[in-house]
Amino acid sequence: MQKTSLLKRFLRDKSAVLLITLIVLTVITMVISSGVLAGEPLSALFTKGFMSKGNLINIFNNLVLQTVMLAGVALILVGGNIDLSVAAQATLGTMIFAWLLDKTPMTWPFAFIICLVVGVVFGLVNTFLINKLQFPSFIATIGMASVYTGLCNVMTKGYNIQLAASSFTAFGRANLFGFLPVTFLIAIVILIIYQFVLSKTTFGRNVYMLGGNPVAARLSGLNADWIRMVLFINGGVLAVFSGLLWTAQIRLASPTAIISFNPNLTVIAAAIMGGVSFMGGAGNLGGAFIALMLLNVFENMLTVIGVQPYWNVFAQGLLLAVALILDYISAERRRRALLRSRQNDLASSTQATKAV
Amino acid sequence: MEKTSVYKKYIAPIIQHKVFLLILIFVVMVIVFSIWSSLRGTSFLRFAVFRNILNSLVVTSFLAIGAGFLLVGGQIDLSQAAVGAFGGVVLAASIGSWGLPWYVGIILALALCACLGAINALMITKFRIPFFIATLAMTLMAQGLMYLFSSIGNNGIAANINFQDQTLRFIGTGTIGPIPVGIIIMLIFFVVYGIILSKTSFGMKVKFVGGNPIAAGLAGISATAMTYILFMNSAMLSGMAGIVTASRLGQGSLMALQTNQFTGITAAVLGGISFGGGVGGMAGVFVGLLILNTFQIGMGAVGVNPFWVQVFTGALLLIALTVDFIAQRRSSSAETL
Repeated sequence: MQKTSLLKRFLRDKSAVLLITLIVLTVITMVISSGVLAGEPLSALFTKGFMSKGNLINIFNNLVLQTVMLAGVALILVGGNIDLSVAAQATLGTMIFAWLLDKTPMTWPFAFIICLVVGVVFGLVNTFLINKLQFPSFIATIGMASVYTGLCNVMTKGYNIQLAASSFTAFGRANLFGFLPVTFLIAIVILIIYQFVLSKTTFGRNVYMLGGNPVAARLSGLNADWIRMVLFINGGVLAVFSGLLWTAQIRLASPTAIISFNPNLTVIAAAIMGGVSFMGGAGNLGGAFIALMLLNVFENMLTVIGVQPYWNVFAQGLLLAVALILDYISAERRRRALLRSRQNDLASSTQATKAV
Repeated sequence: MEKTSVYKKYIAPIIQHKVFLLILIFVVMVIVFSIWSSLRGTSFLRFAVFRNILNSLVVTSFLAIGAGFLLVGGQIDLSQAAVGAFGGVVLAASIGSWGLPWYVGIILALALCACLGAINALMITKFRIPFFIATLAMTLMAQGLMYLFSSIGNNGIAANINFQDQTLRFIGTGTIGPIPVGIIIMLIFFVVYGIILSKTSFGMKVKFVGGNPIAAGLAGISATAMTYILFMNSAMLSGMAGIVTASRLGQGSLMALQTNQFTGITAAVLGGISFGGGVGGMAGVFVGLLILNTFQIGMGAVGVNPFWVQVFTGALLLIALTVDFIAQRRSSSAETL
């Protein structure tokens, strides 16, 4: 009895749909890509195609940058704002890092710390525009993204900077058990810490309150400006940190590479798919992360199966739409069921009063 | 006594109008660039330069009009650039690969773009998907469809499609007297849409829905119908942008408009359309675009490194908004006094 109700509660959760979709898609891809259908032994399911070690490393590596960004961006979204500058912040962070290593005799830990401080500055700039000048965060961050992207190009006139081999780059390619990159583990730990902050601390509660009802939050004595500042500084630092992890993997800083695959919009899309409200005040990182995995893994699946590239792009868009339509349908069914049960209650109570 | 009333009646409304401030920024910019370029021994203040500026506005103006209308109605469309590129490829494919006449190509492109806009509206109204995600999904789907259409009749290979057509060539690069056709089309669009937004009951409904959707619903204005109209309009205008781009290049390019995902929204906001919806006009959008492009071309004319121009463009947007913010605060404090 207890078990079924737990299961039911889980199925009602927004992320359940996403998780089930992810699992089903994974199984289908495993079967098709491993060649079991073409007569390979069953063990090939876990060694070839999608589940091969090379592909898994690929998937996890690709997830690192976006997962760390997600922790920052999702918190900003829950707080009722949006940040479209994180990709540009990450890029500029990596450029500064590589430039410091390349042009100065600095060792990497120092450069690393300087870059995180730069991330704080990025956050402060956004905070200034949004708190003091009261710009909509959408426009303020688009403007800053353009400024940062330009600065990246100015720094090297558009060229990439190679990173010399060091303990930093070695760490970027380190794996556990041959398929689990260390950078991915770090990303997961960050995600768990932020989920804890969001759901178990007073600060987290305040963020929800600020996003859900800013007026009520102000009237009840919350310092909205301060919370926004913390969120944006946090977003900036995490963006730079994600960029640095990416640089450690790729061993290169490029003024265009991160922006070209548009992690900004993917991360926001994942957050909203995973149940973070676009208007603020709702959502958690777990659902958002599952959605992020779904979006990323789906792209990889299509490539592994060998779908034509243009169907690949189309299917990704379709997945995004279908996932949210499914979500709408399940919410609608729940609403109807609730309505029906209320009507039943009403009917039985009126009958009871009549009988009296 | 007499003097102040004349001031209050005729001059104050003009000075306090948002567009006046933007025009002021534009004039200051032109003066600065003129002096700067004359110091470098070139001249900025020429007819040809301004023709170039206006010509560079044409494509983005369609995006800005669409985005402006949507923004007034309280929505945002991120799929504009992708839908526009799709429209351009459909036009190129229908002429270059399938041998259809030019007007059929244009109608087909606009109709398909309108369908995509309708799908956007469907996702937003029927399935209650936030516009951000719905239009983001549409961006990806439109890109996929673009590759697909470019591969039909092209041996299944997705590639840029070249085409030759006298009429489209004239629309894209022809001139009437000294003025390019594109500029004339753009100005007609701005005037027509400006009149629709500020002088007709439809325009008022758009503002009403954007400003207060609940009140608009109670007053009997269907927000659903409005969403459909605005998104289809935005998608068709994006299609126009794609068609003009394709006509200019003589090619349906898969990379067309790629850098313009936020250009329309940026210009609309710069032009004084409030982000929450309900306020704004087309004149502001036009001057907003004018400022953006004058700045970019002017910086090029005085020989600034193009990478720095990108930095300053972002800064310009923020400065324009800051000026607007200060002006707003001044006028609101004047009212309370």
